[in-house]
Amino acid sequence: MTPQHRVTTTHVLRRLRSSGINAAIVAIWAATGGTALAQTKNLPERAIVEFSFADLKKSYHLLNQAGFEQRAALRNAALTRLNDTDARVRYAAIYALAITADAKAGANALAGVLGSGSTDERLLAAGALAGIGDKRGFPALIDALDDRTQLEYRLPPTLALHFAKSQLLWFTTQDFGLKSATSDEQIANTKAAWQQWWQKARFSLHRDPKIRKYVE
Amino acid sequence: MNALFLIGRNITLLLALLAFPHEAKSAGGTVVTVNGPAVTITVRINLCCLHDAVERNILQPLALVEIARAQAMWNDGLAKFQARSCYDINIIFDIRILSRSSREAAPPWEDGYHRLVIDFDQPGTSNVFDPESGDPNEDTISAYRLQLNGTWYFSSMTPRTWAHEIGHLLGLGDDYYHRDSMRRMNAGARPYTPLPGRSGTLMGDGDAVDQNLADRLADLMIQAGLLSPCAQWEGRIEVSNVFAGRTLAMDVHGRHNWRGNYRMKFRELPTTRSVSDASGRQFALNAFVPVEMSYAIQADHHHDYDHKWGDVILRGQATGKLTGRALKDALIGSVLRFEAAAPARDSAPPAPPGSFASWREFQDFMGAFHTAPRPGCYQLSIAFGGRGQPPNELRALYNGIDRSGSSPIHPGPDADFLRVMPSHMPDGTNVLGCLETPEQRDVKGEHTYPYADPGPLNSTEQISIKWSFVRTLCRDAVTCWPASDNASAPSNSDDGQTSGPPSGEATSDPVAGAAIVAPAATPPNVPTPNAPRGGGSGFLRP
Repeated sequence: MTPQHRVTTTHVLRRLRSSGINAAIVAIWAATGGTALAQTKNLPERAIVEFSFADLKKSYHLLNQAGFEQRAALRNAALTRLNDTDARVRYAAIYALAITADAKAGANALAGVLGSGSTDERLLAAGALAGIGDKRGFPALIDALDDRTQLEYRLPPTLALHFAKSQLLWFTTQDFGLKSATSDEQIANTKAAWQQWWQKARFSLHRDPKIRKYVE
Repeated sequence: MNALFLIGRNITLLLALLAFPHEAKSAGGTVVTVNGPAVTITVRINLCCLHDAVERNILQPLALVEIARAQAMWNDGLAKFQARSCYDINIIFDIRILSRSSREAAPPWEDGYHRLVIDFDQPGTSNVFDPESGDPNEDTISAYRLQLNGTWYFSSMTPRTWAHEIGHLLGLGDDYYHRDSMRRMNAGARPYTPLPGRSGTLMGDGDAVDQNLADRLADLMIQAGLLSPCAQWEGRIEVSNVFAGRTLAMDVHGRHNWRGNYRMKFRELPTTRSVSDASGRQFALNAFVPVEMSYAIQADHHHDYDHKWGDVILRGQATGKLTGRALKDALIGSVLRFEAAAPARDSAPPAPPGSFASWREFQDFMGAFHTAPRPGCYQLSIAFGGRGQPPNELRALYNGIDRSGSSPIHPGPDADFLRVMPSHMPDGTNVLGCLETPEQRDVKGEHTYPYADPGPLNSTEQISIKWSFVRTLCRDAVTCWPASDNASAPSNSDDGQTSGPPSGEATSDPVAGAAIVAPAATPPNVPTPNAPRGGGSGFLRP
């Protein structure tokens, strides 16, 4: 009974399916009224549509869990909800896509969010693009370096410029004084240098797979 | 039909459990070790997972640097505060980053570690999920009982975010208003603004560690049963040694009346030590950390040696205050801690009688006390000669009491003085009793017994020891003692013995302070009071 053997319900069902133990699946389905499998199957969709400010931590937990265990399913669910008229659901869908997208799936959809009027949505998409090797998000991140907007959905409370700072420092090898900038004003003061860098490097910039950072 | 369904369902679930073993019962991922006032919280975290060489060789070191900074944020902050005025808390992040061969493989989680999924690239919201908490602003002990789950997204984390999230693994709730919480609505506050008084702090909107966070950590550990609330004892012990009569041993007659009055303050702190009784039963030990003790010893003493050696006269009053090493040596004690599962009162020993008909009876009581203890039993010993100090140092403690009379004087006047001191002034003063409840506030008792003269007539000194303390638990928002009472004050010297103005250090080493000499007659691990020592019986021996 090693720790490696400890598995979640999802893993149980996944294993059963992959092992062809259909009888066991049917038995579990019958025993639980079919709810376990149905809930597992519906977890990505539920995680998006039930996203709630009332229990934001649980909402993020469900989304993150779905992103870890059912990455493709969550991404597919996210893509169908990206234009939801409910801002809460739309943000959850963007978030779900942000944590599941890869270079082959979801990048263009994320790029489409860069024009959003919501700072939360825009920065989330920009950071996600950077994470999958797509440099289209950098202008939005750089633009936010003097933006003191309180992000509505981030926990713990985060200002837009702080989010942008962490993303730029993580994904690039540049600094321009941003690393040592502690006050909001100091962070904002680096914006011009970052903009100049982007203008200069925008075409040659690419992600080096050996260090997973953007280099010129 | 229903019965058949239930039977089928149970068989199916049983088969599923056999095929896929469920998780073994285990302790929480956050563990605590206590050594006197030093408390270490180790947050054991599995991070899953590294998948390739870049993550192992490039990103992992970056992440570990950030985590180290977060650990420093906590420890640099906590170093400035004593939690609940008692504890010095240090935090260790025990991080294990796991590897797995593919993203499809089951995470190789380790038992006893919190389970955090990590992502190096995506800008998700990092989160630790407490399934037992319905209010994100509440502190909970889940981290000490469970292995919590969560997800950390490295690219959007800063040292502050790390420190904040690990704060949740210490049991701390958020110190900012959540958007749709009733708490915020009732307060009429804007979302994500700090709770009252929490601005700029680590679980709120800043990076500062303050007294509030330190106290809350202590409260959580106490609530989880991992830390005892410390207590302050403040009160007095009064001792008298009265003799009037004659002993043929040295052909002495006369009288003496000595009184010692000791006012003291000390703290009761948990240790990781335990003691065992005669049957091998283990008892967790709380130690006493002396804070201060002042004393007044009055002497009215006239012994006559039937003209053979003249007489001995001791009169006057000595007063003083002990600090530093002298205090640590002069006032020692311990209490057997009430464990959460232990009943308030066990079978043995019985409540001590206040009065003993003979010295032997008192000795028997002491023996039973140590061979059959129960949680809550305490002992205190006062002694001036604990370090084997040279006679002049010991004699200085009795300044104010004059020696006169015509009896032979020892070549050394200090040794001569100490030789005629009666017992229990104070060496040999032992207080033995038992708390009835962990929360007991008033602690008092009395021992009276004859202390046998070694001579053939068995004439005796009559000893009376009374004690009375107020014991204040410091587990709530109670400030037990002002900062000026800090028992961990910096040391200027290690030999702060004095009579008169306080000097030197006080001790913060409860383990050393609880060092107890165990006579051969009792089990070696059981705390045992000091035997009378120092000046002896008070009767001059040639």
